[in-house]
Amino acid sequence: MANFFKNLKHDTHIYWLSLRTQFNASAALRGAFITQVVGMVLNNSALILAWLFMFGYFGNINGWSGYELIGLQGINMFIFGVVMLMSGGLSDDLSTRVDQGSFDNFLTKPVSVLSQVASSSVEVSAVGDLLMGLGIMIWYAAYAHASLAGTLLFLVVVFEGCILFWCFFLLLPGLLAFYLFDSDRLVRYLASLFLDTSMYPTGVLTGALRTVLLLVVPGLFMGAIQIDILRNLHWELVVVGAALSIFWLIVSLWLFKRSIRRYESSNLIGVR
Amino acid sequence: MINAYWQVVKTSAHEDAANAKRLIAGVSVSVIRIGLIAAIYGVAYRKLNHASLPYANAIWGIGIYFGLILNLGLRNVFKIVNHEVSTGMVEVGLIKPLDWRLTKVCQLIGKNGLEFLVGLVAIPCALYMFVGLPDTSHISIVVVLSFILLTILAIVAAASLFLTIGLSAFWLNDAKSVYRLTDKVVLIFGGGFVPIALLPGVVQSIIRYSPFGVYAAPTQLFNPAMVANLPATLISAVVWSVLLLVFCQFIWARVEKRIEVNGG
Repeated sequence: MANFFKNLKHDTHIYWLSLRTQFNASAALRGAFITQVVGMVLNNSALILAWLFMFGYFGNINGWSGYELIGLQGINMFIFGVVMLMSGGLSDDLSTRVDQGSFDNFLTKPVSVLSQVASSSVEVSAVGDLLMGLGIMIWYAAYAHASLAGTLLFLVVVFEGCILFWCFFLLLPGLLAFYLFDSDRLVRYLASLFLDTSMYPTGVLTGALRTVLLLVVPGLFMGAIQIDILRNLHWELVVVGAALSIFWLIVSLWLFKRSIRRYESSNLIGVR
Repeated sequence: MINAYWQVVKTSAHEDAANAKRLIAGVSVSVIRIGLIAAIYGVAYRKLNHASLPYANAIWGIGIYFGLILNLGLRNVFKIVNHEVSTGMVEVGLIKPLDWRLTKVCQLIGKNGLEFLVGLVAIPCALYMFVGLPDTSHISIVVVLSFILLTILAIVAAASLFLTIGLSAFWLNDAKSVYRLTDKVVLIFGGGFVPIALLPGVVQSIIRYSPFGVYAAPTQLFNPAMVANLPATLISAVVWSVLLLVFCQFIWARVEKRIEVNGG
């Protein structure tokens, strides 16, 4: 057990060092860095505007108005920003590296493979998501007159959302690369499917589809549930979220460990 | 020469056909995404007594966006161009007798072609199951011919736009930020999330006369109000497609002066 904690400390230290180096390298081109951050903020604003047009046309839908939609997008952006900043290397790189045979690089070092891949690149535009998301989240909490208990539960569910997003958007789709060749496009499809379940105003859904989005593909934990908790203190959803995030985190890590065994080292041959 | 480009398309298509699992999964994901949108709009439409755009027509419009625009994946030409420019691989492409830019577009069409064709069958079937048939009382032969022309123009405009963005990597080294900004704005104002007919009138007019209008035009096939604006939409689409093509050519001419080929 003592050995486990020693390794964990060592791996975490290397992970932070690697992440910091990657971030500094990405931010070195100051103009490109600022363009990406500002670009992402504009992007997100355009997305909110588009959905607001929908609510403008239909009015309130199942108790959801444009305000809830803005809140949802804010939480979504924040979770996306946090996860992409901390594990950007898993987003595209895992499947590409496995397909191209350059995954070998990570297997030869005495550090956790997952932490190496996660910190191998940083998505700087995620800073824009994070900052804008944080601003909107604070605004929505004030708008919803959130109580202290509600705010605390809200923060717990945001954390659960980060874990689920990391599993469903980054790691699980990426693992397909170990089972299917040229899986890059499919990985992107599956990841964006999960993103859609969280980005669309799925909070308006009821019945079987809501249950699916709550338990099977838990996209509702990327914003919709947080909004519900701020409005009505659904503590039972916090428990469901905790159970789901622990379950999927264990499954994802176990699958990753198992999938690595299928990796076959290869020499990279490029035809141009 | 056309035969050579056709061979590029065919070779890339063979590569795609070899991965049947990916093909099926790719189309399935598109169908699920449309199903999700149909469910959300289903809830929204339930409370409306009268809508300017019928529910089925709204979802079929979004289905066209997924089937014709997203599945053909022409925006991904940016990724290929950006990658080749930032890694220097572009040098190799330039010494070949085929136009490098056209080759990249053909490779992409070939690579996505099969999935695109399967989607053209699967998506309408799924739409029929989700929402039934749309109201087509406004569709005449003129509308169908215009739709075909608008789709071709949308393909030309998309290829030119995303090629140009990719070429900007010659100055920026990595043009991802420009791509991300354009891509989502195009998605939003192209009718991918909210059908154009549901947007406020002023926004609809702005989109119609902007480059996004070319992108959005094919998704309006099932919008009855589109017929009245058809001539304006067509003229705007032709003008913007030509402008984007000319601009891409202009940027390419600047790029050619800028390229420095390293030996090795």
